[in-house]
Amino acid sequence: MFTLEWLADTTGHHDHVLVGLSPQNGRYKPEYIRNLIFWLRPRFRSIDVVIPGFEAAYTLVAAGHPPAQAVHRARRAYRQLHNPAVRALAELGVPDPARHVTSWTRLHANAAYRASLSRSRKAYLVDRRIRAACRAMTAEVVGNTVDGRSVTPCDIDIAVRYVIAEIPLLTDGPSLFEADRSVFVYHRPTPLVAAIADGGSILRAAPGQSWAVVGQQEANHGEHDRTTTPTAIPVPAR
Amino acid sequence: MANTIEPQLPLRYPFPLGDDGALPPLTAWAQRARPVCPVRLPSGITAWMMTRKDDVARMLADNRFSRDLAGPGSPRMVGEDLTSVDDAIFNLDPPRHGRVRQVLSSWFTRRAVQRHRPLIARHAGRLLDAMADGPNPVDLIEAYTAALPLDAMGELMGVPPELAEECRRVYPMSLDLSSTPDAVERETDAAKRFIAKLVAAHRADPVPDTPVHALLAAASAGVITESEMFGTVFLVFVTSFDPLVAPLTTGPMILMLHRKQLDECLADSTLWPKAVEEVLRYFHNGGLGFPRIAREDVDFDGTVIRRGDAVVVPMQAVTWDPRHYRNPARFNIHRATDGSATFGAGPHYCLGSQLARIVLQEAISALFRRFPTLDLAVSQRELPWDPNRMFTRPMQLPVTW
Repeated sequence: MFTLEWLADTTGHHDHVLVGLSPQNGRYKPEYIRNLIFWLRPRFRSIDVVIPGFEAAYTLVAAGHPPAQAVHRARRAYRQLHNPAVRALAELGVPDPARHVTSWTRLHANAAYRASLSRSRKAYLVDRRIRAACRAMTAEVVGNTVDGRSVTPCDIDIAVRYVIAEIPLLTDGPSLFEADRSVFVYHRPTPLVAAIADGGSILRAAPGQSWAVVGQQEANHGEHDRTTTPTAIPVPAR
Repeated sequence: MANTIEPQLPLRYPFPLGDDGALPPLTAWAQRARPVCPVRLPSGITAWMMTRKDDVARMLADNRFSRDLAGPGSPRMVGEDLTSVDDAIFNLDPPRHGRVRQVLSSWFTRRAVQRHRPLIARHAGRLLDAMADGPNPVDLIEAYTAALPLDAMGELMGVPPELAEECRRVYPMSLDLSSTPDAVERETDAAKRFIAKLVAAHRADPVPDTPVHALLAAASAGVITESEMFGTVFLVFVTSFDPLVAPLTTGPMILMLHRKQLDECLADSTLWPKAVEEVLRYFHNGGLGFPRIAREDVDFDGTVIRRGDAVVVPMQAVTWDPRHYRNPARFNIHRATDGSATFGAGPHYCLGSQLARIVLQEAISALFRRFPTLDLAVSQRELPWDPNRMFTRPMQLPVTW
């Protein structure tokens, strides 16, 4: 059983839900993914699932893994998230289910994503609050991956690309997925969403963009909380 | 798909792309079933699409089809794009076209462009040094294939330092088929403003041995008009950037997907030019190109193309025509055929074809010599191809080494 808590005073709706899956949080096991999608799908007119692209490897590189190994692990993790999500959508009768499970890399085919990413990168460079939120979240992601050492600014410089690449999903869901209203769901609030939602940064959410935290009330809750690599980024918890 | 299902006509462009940049299935269908096929362009006009190599060669050399699209009301892909610029070499029909082309042709000959190899290699080396010192994995387009034309062609074309930043803002032009006519016009206007500044800078401080210099000298001598000079500088700049990024991206991509052939190139450097020819044949980076207009009614193999009708040509169909290329879907650097047909035919055959070849040869060979283990960092199925992009390519190419 899941719950949905709408963030930042946004009004609930039933239009489009965007589900972020994280390769770096232990909760995103096949059964959890299936249950989550099965729970969300009937509550919204349309659903899409997003999975980090090649940028996921940066957190492993920053943690000291050789790049080729990091890429290999990231690709494997992608498949482990992608396949259960496609299967769940197929079981629910969503037409062309693979089209609704998208990597951030594939989103580059969309001009709206590219434009939004460009704005996000600029915001990271010029907006102190966005920069701080991105770096804090990156430090947490990398910190959960490194063994026995502290995260350096250099590590964050490498891995922050991961966090930045996700920002368009927090600001421009409606245009990316051609919906009037779109809610991005993740399992906890993050400073980046707060910085975008309260108008205190140069990043603005598009009209119709909202966010919600998906929680789990029973069964395996404790297990999910024992993730070894808790989240750092929005949505999918890292 | 198209073997069993008859698509509704006119076809609507842009078409869904083929896998990994292969010929779009609808183009392949038209080549088989409707070699002169009506296609609805994003602007709303319907054009005739020709897809067979012999037909295309005949049409491109036929004076009854005009390239002059500068006039208002001319058929456009979306809106007032580069074809709307008055008197650009792109828009000229013989004999004016030949007079303007003659000004530039000596600069672009196969022999003449060879002297630019060291410049291209220098910029490639510098960018690859930076890539080696930067993040791994990386988007190859950002690190290398989009940056190289801006740097190398920028120097070759004499972009002064004070205009370098504006050049980077203006180019590559997106030429986005999903764009609005207003956005296309704004993009064209921004490029015109840049070219006006560039021409003024070259007049104040000439940069010899550049196409701009040759055009300015010809305008001063009265060989070409001021308008022909401006329009042609505009065109030279568009073609110096955007059309190079696509093969600089798809080339390494397809070679990484054909590792055995890549290894052959690494073992025998004389194969790089062969690999580049096959990259040029396999992909085409201009979609349907820009329309031509029938000056009179023309009966083309039983299809009457009426005076004023637009005709478009996907050059990838030409280089995938099975009547001329055996098993065209197979990427094979050992083909006896080259990539020439991708550059067109007739009087408007691409002026920069030889320069493009040496840019690609230098850039792709340097990339793999520096990073022989370079590989995709995502599954090829994840590569983001944008069918709306006129210069078709993945919009991101994550690689690792």
